[in-house]
Amino acid sequence: MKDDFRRSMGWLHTWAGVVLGSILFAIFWMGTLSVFDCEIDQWMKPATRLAPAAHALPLESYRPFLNEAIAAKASFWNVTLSGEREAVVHTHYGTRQKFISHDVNPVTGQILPDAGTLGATGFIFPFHYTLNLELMNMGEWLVGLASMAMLALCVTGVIIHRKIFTDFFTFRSQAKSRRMLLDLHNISGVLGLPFHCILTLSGLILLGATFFPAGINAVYPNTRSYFFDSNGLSFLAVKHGKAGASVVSLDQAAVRAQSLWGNGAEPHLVLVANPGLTTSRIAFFRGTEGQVMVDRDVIAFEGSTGAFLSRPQALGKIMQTQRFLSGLHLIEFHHWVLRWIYFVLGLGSCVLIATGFLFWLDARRKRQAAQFGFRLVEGLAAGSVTGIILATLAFFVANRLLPVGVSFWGMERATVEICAFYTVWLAACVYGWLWPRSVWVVHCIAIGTLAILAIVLNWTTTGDHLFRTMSHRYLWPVGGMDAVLLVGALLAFLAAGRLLRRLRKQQHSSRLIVEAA
Amino acid sequence: MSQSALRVVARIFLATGGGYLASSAVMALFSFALVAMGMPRADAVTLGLLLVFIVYLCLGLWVFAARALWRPAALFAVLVVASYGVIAVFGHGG
Repeated sequence: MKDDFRRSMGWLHTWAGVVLGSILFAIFWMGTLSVFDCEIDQWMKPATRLAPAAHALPLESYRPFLNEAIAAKASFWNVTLSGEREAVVHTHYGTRQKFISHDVNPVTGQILPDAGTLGATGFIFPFHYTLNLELMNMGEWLVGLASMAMLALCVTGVIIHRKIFTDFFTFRSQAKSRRMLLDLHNISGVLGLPFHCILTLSGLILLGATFFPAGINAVYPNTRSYFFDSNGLSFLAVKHGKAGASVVSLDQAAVRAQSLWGNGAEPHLVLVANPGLTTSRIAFFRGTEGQVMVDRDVIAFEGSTGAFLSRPQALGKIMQTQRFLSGLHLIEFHHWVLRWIYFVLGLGSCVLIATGFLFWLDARRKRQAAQFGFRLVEGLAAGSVTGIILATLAFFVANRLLPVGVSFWGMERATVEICAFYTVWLAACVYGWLWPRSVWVVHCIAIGTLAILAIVLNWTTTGDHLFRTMSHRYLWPVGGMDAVLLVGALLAFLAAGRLLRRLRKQQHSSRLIVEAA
Repeated sequence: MSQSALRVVARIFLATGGGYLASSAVMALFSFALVAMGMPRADAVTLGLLLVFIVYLCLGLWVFAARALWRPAALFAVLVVASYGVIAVFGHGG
């Protein structure tokens, strides 16, 4: 490319970063929020803010929902049990036309009112790996491309360093803004390097079967059979049976699954495939919150007779490695300190991407400020960094503002929330292109305001203010979200203040230059 | 479009598209060979998936670092042809 290796890698680092930085920021931002997806869900669905159940209900309490699925001729029904992070029980079933889910109170077994929101598990987490673009899996492929670029950025970023260990300890907070930005970019990059690399690579591996079907098709008839084979789900490949069969007691089957697992393991998810048909299957997926490695060890029984069907062989070394990497990425294990460290490191990745953008702009502002390409990146940077943060906050505010059961122009409440997200995102981008000088200040002030508004709205609509949520253990997830919003608001106002002072100084000095001339 | 811009575009396509096809081919050959040597299919494919992204990364970076483009282009072509050839001759879909 260029004359020497380091300059080629520098070129790649710059341009891969500028072109794919927006997508990368969106992925890392949504991924960072997904660390606390269940907690955000509790904030967005006030009816699910429940004290944990002292005793789990017997599985048969969910039989009415199974019967509902049978009556609807569903192809599957499942129930996700509540745990330390999930306050409520979720049941789902899917027919050919639709996908129905209910939140169920784990103490009474009653359906909770529909909150009319997708929440974090339904919008923020899928956005993290699909960008909410479902057309031809385009989102997933874009995420894959951006993730490969992230790996390349990590490698090239190390290569173009001359003094990586010196940069490690250098942060000149009082230096000129360009120097400071580069220091911040280096520090967040180098300190978080293992995190950036491992999380990007494990994310790619999680979706590996989507990205590299060619390797699978070399030895399997299709991707599905690899999926069944590697997850111990081959019992699902059955023909459609006749209707009218019953499903045996879920609790009795659960006891047998638990005795096969041993070690006091409990099921996390119970699946009934082909419910009500003669070929129905009951499967128990083990909870793995006690370990990093995701090993569901699925035990399956015949649905109508309760006869034992299958249990996968113990995982081999290669599968263990893959499941460990998946576990590192999905954080299904329970460990609050580690979860917060993931959150902070994720924010570090966001800082890395944002400062990369800002450094690119700052290094070119004097020479190219009027050029189209520069203006494009300037708008893109603001829109994709502070813009998506604003959009997320608008999503939260809309969630607290919209009354339950409301609909606009035939759109359901959950869709209206997502419209709020995209409208604010678009507006933030447009503002960045029209008024690039003031965009960062305005965005920061807007972020601070929306975050405070979200806290106040949560208080007024549910009565859960910070003092109340902090004094009840089961409300900590809600309180934690409010506290993070508060800290974020303070930081945003602080940043706005600094930017405003600098803007005034610049205006003052440019006026002096004009007067002198 | 100037010639240097054209060359940059060619390089990007070769790194992303060519690199993708070549690493796909490497993974297919690798998994196929492991299964032929007696490893369970799920293990062979999973090991391939664990490694293929690193292969793709290296091939892509090589394209950007190389002086002449014909060298990576030629290797990629050989890999793709070899992979299709081997799997077409020795069986497909297990």
